[in-house]
Amino acid sequence: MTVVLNDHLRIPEEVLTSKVGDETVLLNLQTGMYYSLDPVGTRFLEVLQRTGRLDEVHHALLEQFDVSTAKLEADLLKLSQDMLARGLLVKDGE
Amino acid sequence: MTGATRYRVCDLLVESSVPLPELSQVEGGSPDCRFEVLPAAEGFAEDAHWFHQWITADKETWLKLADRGEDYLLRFLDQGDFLISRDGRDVRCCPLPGTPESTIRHLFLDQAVPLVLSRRESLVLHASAILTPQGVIAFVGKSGQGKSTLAACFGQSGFRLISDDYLVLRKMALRKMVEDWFAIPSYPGVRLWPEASDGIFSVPPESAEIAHYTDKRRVSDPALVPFAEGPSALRCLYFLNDEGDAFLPEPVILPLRPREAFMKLVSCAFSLDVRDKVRLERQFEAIGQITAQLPCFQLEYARDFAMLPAVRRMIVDQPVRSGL
Repeated sequence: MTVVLNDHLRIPEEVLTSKVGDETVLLNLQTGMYYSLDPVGTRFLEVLQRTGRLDEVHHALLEQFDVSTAKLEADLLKLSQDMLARGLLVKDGE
Repeated sequence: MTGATRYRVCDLLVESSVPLPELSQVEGGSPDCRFEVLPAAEGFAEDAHWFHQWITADKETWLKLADRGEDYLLRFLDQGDFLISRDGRDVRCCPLPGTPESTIRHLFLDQAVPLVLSRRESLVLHASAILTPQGVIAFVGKSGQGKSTLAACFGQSGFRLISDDYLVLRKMALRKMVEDWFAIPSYPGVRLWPEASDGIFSVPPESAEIAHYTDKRRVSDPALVPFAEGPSALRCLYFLNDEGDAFLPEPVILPLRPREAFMKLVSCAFSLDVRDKVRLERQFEAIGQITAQLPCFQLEYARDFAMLPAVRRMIVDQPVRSGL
């Protein structure tokens, strides 16, 4: 599934999240599978849950971390695609 | 049920059609769960819809779970069937011909009850636990990882046993306003292999058969393994692994990140119905809170009985070092 920076993404109802320390654990109730996000992934999810917009996440993380625009964009798109494939995110409206 | 007797296991008041000598009898009260043993037969009729199974370390199926009408069906291969009502209030056992009473009681007390409790409580862990002056310490791990041996080792030193194999955790406030995670005592006794019993106790203790298919025996003497009387706050968790490093000269305690502890706890939580989203959500929340609030450690030690006193000393000192 292709993701672009101006996509709107959200966590579907069948996914539970729990912030443990500076990391996050996710449970997909449909598959019964657990996943975890490191501190950077946790920050990604926090901003995404608040704004629902990948470009807002990109903007926020660019201010917080010492990383190039292109590298951050590539990393965010890769993480988003991976989470979409695992049912941990859906495009808004789906 | 005529001639039924009432017992307590954890906070569960069980009315049983057969004697359960492992438990304390209680008078009065309204039973939370009724246990009935039916005449031996070839199991309940096969109109079951199987949805899950437990596999042993040897890759053999040990337990199959199914929907059967309004009940859950638990089939312990070669032993018998248990029917558990959806609300966990009724448990009926249909043993296979020849299954001894001790085995039926073991399957009920140590397999069916924690699954029934998982329908009622926030979290039931595969863990032993002991009460220390700082609070309850839990040893979390799968079968064969040394939970009972550690519990017996502490019991033999005067620490009270909270649980041998399954630990009920409940969030509540006792004598103060702040809620805490409390460990609920299960029932007296530890199940030990003969060599573990020999390695821990200087004099062979009185023990009882647990089930016909295992050499493990139950040691219940309160002078050897005293039992806790009521709930106490959980203070920290130690995670065990399959086999200790035989060459470790002394025990090693490694702090775990909350996320690491979370993933380990998930795999050690009892759940009667892995499809039940409401209860999975409750379990998920409980594990998240526990791993965020309480210190969690990996415990590594050589599986040598001579090492146990050092393990015990290090663990008793550990909460102090952690500032608890």
